[in-house]
Amino acid sequence: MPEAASVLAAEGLHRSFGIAATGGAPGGVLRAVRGVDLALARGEAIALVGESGCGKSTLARMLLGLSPPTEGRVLIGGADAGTLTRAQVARQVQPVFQDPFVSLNPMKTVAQIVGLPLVAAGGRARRERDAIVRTMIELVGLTADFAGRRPGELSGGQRQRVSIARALVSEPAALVCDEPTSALDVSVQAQILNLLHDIRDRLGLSYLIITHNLAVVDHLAERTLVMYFGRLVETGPTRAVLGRPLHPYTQMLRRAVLEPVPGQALPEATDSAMPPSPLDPPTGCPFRARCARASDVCAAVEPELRPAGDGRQVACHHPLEH
Amino acid sequence: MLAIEDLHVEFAGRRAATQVVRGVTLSVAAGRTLAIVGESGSGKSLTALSITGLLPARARRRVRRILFEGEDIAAYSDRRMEDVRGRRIGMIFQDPTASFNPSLRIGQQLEEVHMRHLRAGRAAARARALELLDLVGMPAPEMRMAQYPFELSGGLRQRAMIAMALMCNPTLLIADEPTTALDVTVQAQVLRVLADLQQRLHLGLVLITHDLGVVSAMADEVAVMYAGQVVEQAPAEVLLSAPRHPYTRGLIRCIPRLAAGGAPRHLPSIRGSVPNFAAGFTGCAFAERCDLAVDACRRAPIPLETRADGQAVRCIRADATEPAYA
Repeated sequence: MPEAASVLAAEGLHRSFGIAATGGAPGGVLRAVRGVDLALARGEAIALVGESGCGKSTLARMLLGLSPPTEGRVLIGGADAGTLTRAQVARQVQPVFQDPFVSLNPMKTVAQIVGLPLVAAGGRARRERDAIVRTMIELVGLTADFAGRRPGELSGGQRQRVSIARALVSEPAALVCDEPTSALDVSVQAQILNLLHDIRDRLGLSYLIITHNLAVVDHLAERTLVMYFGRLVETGPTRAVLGRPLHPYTQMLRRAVLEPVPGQALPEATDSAMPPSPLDPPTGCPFRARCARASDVCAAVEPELRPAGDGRQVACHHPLEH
Repeated sequence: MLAIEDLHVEFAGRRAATQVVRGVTLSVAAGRTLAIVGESGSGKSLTALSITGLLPARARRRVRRILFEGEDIAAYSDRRMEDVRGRRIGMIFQDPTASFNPSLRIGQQLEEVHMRHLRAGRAAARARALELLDLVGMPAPEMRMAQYPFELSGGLRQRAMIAMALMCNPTLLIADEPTTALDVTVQAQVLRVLADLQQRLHLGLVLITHDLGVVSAMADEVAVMYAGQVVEQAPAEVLLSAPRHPYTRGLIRCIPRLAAGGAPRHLPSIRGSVPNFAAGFTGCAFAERCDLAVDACRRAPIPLETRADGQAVRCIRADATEPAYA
């Protein structure tokens, strides 16, 4: 994807953490993200999926400018995020976090919470700010009388609406949503997914949605990136990636999803292995211990992400047929 | 093996008590799984905690009786209940971190349960702990025994908790959202362990969950709770293929599905959110969010009626046709 068209992009991103030895556990360097390239186009929604510990949240923090990459760079609106101030980043990319029970200041009113980014940015009269805040509160499906309430008086779904309003108030080009509905009840999750869907249409926003819930991906994002052990292992149109996975890992994730249909069997217990320890990475493909297709080459060489036709990419020596 | 009859739970308040469980009657047989499904505030967890009397301090339980293997355990003293808990009824919670003592090794915690309840010696307890860690599919059980809870991954910690719940050979297992905090791949592993053990040990299982996918894979019977009441109860297959209560129908419909495929799109949703029922309600608790509600729904309490096919529904409009969804 051409760089100029991207609202948000990553080029060869790495992030390592030094881990001190504690008790019996040895220290070392934990490579949480090991070379990720991605580009989010204007108006596009991409989902980033993978198990906990795969590096997806570390990647998100870098894309939000909250954590500097060890190597590589983040481009926000075409500019290197390392050269931008926090305020400049915040004007273009905003986060929506998982748990609206901890991400909102309980002492502030809804209007204060939503308006804070405007106050921080400065340059607007109070009246103008109030008008924008009111518009945002209504845009996310709350009524004007919510302005004076505090988070403690709101339900989970209402709080997540407030988080979204706060993210939108500085008119960013992109939202990075980390598990935006995981903390919500099912009936409320549907409302928030619909809201995200609507405001994207209306405002021409771009989304990067980080989630472990593949069914949510299907409803929100045209493109899906599958991350494993710090790298992208499969990318492509959501329908293709989830419908006919190329990477055995994607297939494993897909098969583990339990859907509310009658008479569903538990997935086969083929996968008892865990992802390897990032402090002690294996040779070759980090998925091979969990993979039925693994061969000698998988133990020797870590596969690179390569084009696989139809706008898809896969990092596997023995991809599945499509 | 377990029958709860007319359970009520209320929280004492400054002015008035708040009812959170309002007349729940449920039962489960040996070797079978009863799933209690509901959203937050539905009373599903309090119903489960009521069985063993582990309610929060402010909560009061009122129940006709709780029959467990022929005994009314609702009448038991705290001391007698302590013997039932842990020994005859095992419990598994969502967050294994909170159930383990962080400063004791896994092995020691497992052994202690056994020694305390069965007055067994250390050696017997250790053998039993190893046997169970093996049974729940814990890799390298000897090594895990010597580890602290924080050294285990979420999935392994949950397996250790299942092992701990089984240390004294319980006949009934109560699992409150046992896989909610886990990745889907790990969830599948843990559910398989639970299902295998249940079959092998002929355990009764009460599974509290908000996830109808888990229900489909695990449950024989399902009770759907809303605002402290069972609003629908049926065999899992029946409930998932032909839900009758408008809340159950809405709940099933609003779950995003993979199988559907296709471009990003709108999901049907249930409007509004669960109201605050502190002040109580007359009639149907779901009426405010229901597209089928009529005046009669709000006038008088709605009974849970068992239909000819064994499906029980608390709705007077269950046979009405729903308006089309946009």
